Amino acid sequence: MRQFSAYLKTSIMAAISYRGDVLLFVLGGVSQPLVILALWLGVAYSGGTLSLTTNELIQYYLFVVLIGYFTSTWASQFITKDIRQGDMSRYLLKPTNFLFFQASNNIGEKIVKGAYILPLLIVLGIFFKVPIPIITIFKVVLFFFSLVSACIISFIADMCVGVAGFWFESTEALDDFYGIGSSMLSGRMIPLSIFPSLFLPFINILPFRYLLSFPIEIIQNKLDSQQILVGLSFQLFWLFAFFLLYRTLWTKGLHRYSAVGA
Amino acid sequence: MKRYFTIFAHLVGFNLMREMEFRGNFFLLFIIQSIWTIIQLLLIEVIFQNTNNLVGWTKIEILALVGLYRIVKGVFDTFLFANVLYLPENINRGQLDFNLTKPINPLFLTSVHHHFPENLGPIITGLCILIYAIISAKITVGILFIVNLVTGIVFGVLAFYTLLFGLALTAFFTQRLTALSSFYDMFNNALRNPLDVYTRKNLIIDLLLLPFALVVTLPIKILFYKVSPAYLALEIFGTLFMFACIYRLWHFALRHYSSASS
Repeated sequence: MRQFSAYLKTSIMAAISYRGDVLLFVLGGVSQPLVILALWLGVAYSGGTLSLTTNELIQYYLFVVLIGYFTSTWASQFITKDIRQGDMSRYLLKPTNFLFFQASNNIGEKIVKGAYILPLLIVLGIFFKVPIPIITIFKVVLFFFSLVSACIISFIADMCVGVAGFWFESTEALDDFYGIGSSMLSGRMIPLSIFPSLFLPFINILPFRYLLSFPIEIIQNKLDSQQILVGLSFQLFWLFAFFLLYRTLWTKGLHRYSAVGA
Repeated sequence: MKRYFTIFAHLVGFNLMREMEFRGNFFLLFIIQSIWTIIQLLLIEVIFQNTNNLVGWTKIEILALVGLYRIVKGVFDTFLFANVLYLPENINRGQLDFNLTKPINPLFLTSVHHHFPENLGPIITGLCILIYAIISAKITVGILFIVNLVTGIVFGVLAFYTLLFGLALTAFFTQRLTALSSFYDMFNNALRNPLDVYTRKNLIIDLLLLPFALVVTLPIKILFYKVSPAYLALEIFGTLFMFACIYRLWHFALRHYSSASS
């Protein structure tokens, strides 16, 4: 715990040192959902019929920005690079858990990014007069539980991509495949309520919906209790599945790893 | 001028040879980029299942815009993107000397030294989409059309380059600019759609976003006769004016550059 908090403080200080860069990364991350929102609002403006009202669309995409911020991960390419260049040794030689180190970096940067994103969302919410969803306390608790699960699944999936670097020189393609699935099937580009119904059974099984759309559906009161429980079960399943995959890849990968001086 | 073409041809050869050492990666990235194109087409399909026009743009016109954007982005990503992306790092590490001390225009060498040939794929897919859109729209392809198309591509690439390079030049004055890729993502997200989606034909916003409209939106409007062909002059002279500003800014910024050897 002391190690984790020490790494966390270091990550926060590093992020604060480059506040300008962090702001630009935040703006880059926020731009895609807002651009897609503009696209869907353009459909409504052009007289198109959608299953969501304009207010619901705006609310949905502001939540996409919020949930996207919480579930964002970026470690995989750095891990692959460290493995390729032999810099993984510096983590292996320390009496520290690599997963905790990466988690502390992820959380630390998000704490700093939150200082930019949360006020931005509040301003956008006020500007667009987005109503605050009215749901029961129980559903709020379930929302936070699903949000935390989504964050952990996203983080561990990213770690899995990163440690695939023990086998591949570059995991850019794997990262891209994951990004494709995440963009298309999580509800980021097309809200799942607008998605062609033919694909929905397939989407409900895959993990991507549970990284983004599922928490939003809870907070927007689109799901009843049974649907929420089924969704949470899927989230827990994918959380354990990715964790097992990570443990397997990490253990087997370490057997393959070699570096100068190691 | 002939010397510059010769040098550029040699650079293309060197970069292609380097890339072909990783043939698997080259073809894998081609596949991934094709999948991203399919996703974009799927998004357009879903949008037009809900409406028959998007802020005055028909499905065929949007497809043409996507096709042209893939071509412009493909050319930019292949020949220019790497250099714009590495510029802040080269400035920060004082490595710009390699380009400044050569007996050639340093802006030319800085802009075209590194290539990413794996981005040739989008040019091919973009061309296919554009040809399909032109055939579907039953547009007569004459000499004037070809001239408009080639001009649109050349000046679209130049406009995209000046926008991003202008941002990269701020690295001469700031400590670090690793988030330049975030600006690229922002532009990428915004420019793949017609700018009318964001401006909603508001004159003031249209004028503010004019530099971005020069990349793809205006060329497609000219090609599909949504505006008078006289706007081609705006495309050409607007882009050249932007480039002239960047050229002046580059020389101004170089006065702030220093390295171990200067």
